[in-house]
Amino acid sequence: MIPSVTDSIFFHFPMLVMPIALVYGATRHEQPWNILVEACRWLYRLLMFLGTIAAVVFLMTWLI
Amino acid sequence: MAEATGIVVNSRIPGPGRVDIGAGLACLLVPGLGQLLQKRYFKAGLFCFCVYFLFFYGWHLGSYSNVYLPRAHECAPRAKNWTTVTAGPLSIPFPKAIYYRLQFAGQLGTGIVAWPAIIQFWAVDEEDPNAKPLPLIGLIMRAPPEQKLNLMQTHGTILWELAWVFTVAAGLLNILVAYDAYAGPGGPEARSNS
Repeated sequence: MIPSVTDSIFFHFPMLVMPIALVYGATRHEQPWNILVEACRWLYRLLMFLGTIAAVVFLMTWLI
Repeated sequence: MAEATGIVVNSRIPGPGRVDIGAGLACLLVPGLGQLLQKRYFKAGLFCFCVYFLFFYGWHLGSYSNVYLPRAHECAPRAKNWTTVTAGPLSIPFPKAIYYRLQFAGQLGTGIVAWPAIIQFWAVDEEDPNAKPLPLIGLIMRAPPEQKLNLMQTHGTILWELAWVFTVAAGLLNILVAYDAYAGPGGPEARSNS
């Protein structure tokens, strides 16, 4: 049985981080453009944070 | 100063020294409702869409079975509604239902969409095979029997775990949304508006 692409957590990952970044951005600003810019900053921070954790986990898996 | 920087002054936006308790509480019922009452329509729509998207997407991923509050009669301590949490020398009484489903504490932040789980908790014992669907809400957010939960966790995909993360994230984000309605945004525009 071939696993579906929707069974991967990475398929659903954008649906999790994008609304979180938008809400974070909107709690800092009032104007739509400023909210969008702040959301992009938060998206970058979230991706860096989660990417670092993923890299550490992959490295540890590779070492063990 | 505000005009010189091109920032639109909106007296409806709460800020330092000017809080809106009613709007904050309204957001705890429906995400974005507080901003709607303050006539901040863009943010009301954005918050409502984002929080409900996360909640319902997670609920769907969890086969509509991951938002519930169990009575957990069979779990220790048996036939009691309270358990004890120890933190160092302290022994703190804690509601057993939340103890066995801590995720619901986060999901509850989403507001009234999570309330059917509380109604099911009060009205129905999830282990009772003869329990009937409730009027209006039917089987929505009823705690699945232990046997069904075990099956979903052992034979389901990893998405079962990811799904509740979506719903808990929605509830926790709504607390930020409520704070925005209560005290206004935290960025430089808010300080200019005040």
